[in-house]
Amino acid sequence: MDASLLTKDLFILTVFKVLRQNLARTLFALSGISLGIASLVFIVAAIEGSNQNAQNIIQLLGPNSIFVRSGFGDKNSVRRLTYRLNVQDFRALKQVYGIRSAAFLMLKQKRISVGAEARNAYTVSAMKDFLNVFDYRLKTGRFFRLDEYSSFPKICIIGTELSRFFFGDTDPVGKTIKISKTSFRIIGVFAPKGKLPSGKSLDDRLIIPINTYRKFIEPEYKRLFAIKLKLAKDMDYDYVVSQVKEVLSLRHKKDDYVIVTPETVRKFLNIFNMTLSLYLGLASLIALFISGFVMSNIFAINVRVRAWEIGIRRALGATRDAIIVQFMAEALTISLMGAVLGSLLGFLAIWWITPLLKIPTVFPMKSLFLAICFSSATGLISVWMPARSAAYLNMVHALKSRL
Amino acid sequence: MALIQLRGINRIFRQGELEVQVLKDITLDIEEGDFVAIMGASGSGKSTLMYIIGCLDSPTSGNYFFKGRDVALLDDDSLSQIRNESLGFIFQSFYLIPYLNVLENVLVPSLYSSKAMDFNKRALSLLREVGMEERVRFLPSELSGGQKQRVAIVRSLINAPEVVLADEPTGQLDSKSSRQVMEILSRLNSRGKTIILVTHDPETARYARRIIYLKDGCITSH
Repeated sequence: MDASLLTKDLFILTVFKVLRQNLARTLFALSGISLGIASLVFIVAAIEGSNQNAQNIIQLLGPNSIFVRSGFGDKNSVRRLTYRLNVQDFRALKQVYGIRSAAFLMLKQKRISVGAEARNAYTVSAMKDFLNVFDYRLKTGRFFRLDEYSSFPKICIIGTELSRFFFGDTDPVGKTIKISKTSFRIIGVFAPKGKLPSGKSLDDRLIIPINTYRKFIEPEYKRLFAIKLKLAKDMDYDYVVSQVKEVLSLRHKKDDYVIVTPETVRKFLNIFNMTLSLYLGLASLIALFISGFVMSNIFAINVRVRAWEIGIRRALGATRDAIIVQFMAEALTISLMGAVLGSLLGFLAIWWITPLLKIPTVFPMKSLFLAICFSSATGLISVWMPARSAAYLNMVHALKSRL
Repeated sequence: MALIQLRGINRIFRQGELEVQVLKDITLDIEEGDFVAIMGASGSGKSTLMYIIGCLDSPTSGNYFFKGRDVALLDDDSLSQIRNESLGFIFQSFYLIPYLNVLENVLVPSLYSSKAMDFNKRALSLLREVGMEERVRFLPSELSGGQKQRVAIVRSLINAPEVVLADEPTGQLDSKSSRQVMEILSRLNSRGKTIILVTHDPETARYARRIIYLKDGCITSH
């Protein structure tokens, strides 16, 4: 047997035996470290998740676009819960210099059925530029023809989720679907658009031409859910946004609308991330600090209890460094176990909480690396002093300390 | 030249204002292969003398030469190396590490050794020699006093030191176990190992070739 290998084995074995022997100490130190690490892992995931969220919103928004959503007016308004943007706003915004195309979004939840199968879904009104401005792509079938916007054809384009719900894997083009009691012919299925940050799917919608919408869905509509604007090529984005803001501020109060641009998304994200990092970061830092403090004290007590063991090890030839290395190895082992346990706890928290926070659940593997770094640092720094004091114990006193 | 040379060793302990001189002007040579018993009443300074010889404590004044080297000039790492490779320790209360089994305990000095040898094989053959080969996986708590001390003897020998220092090795043992332990030490000595024994028990000291009496920190007779 290779002697050096055996020595190494004995060293590692000793570490684990010590940790088992001092189980209470080990568990106490371990729980502190793992809680700190768990919150650290959670922060990283939450930030990663909200970044991804923002990316999704920005991608959904599309390049060179401005999205104006209706607000509900000021909180004390009598007409709360009605959308504040209207068709006149749309016309005004369309005139803003630098806007190439624009479309508004109107939708209403309706009962949709095919035969005996039924469910609720949003029916969306499509004006002429709607499919283009809102970046719709086709999966199968066709878009509306120009003449279909000005007549009242009972045709629709449906989302993939609706298609799957009613028709399974078969192509629904040409089939009939009922909105309330009116039958519509399906002419196309649009390509999946994914989910809103709120988790709501955009693929269980049903799009019909604007006049048909007016006739069958909402005869007296004036109010718009949202307006989307696309900029002309080479326009200065910030300049156009400022123009849009000006037009809206002349026509409305501040609470009546929300302008969504990549910049506002990022700004919101930054505030969200900063708050998150600040509170959770502080929490995890405090947790790690306290666990470091606890670990330091636990090891200091442990050094006193095991003074005679240190004494005999020194008598048997352990150098001061060897004593320090032994305690550091014990601390490091606890730390690494803490990193693993903390990461598991953190991942559990991510899995459990992120859906509630409406952020995508991501398990960032880089946090594992962070966890190992932070917990090792906590362990090594906090145990340095006790380990050093162990190494510098008076050997004769240490040996005599065993009663 | 003697293996161990003590020249005018004094050891004074200070406790606040109080000064206690535990060793007074000790001059002593111990040759290689000797078996010396240091005897004296408790408080005579015999344990302190052993700690100094064992490089666990240093004299307040005087010179200690180990294999011709002035120990006072050596740093902590060099002293650790001397303890590890040249000295073996046996104590009254065994000092076996409770969470390690017999074999692991015996191998502890090898952790700190730079010597290249098959410690595992050596440990097993030494344990066989003291009749402990059946109990290599036992924990110290599962052993009798005599067995513990035999394990401690093997541990002191694992790095093949020149000198074995035994501090009251039979202090906690019954007469039968004491005899066994002392016979092992004599056998070691007969094979050339230098043994320094600290005891207050004349029965134990009988095994030594030479007895040094200490009284109030002074050597009274050889």
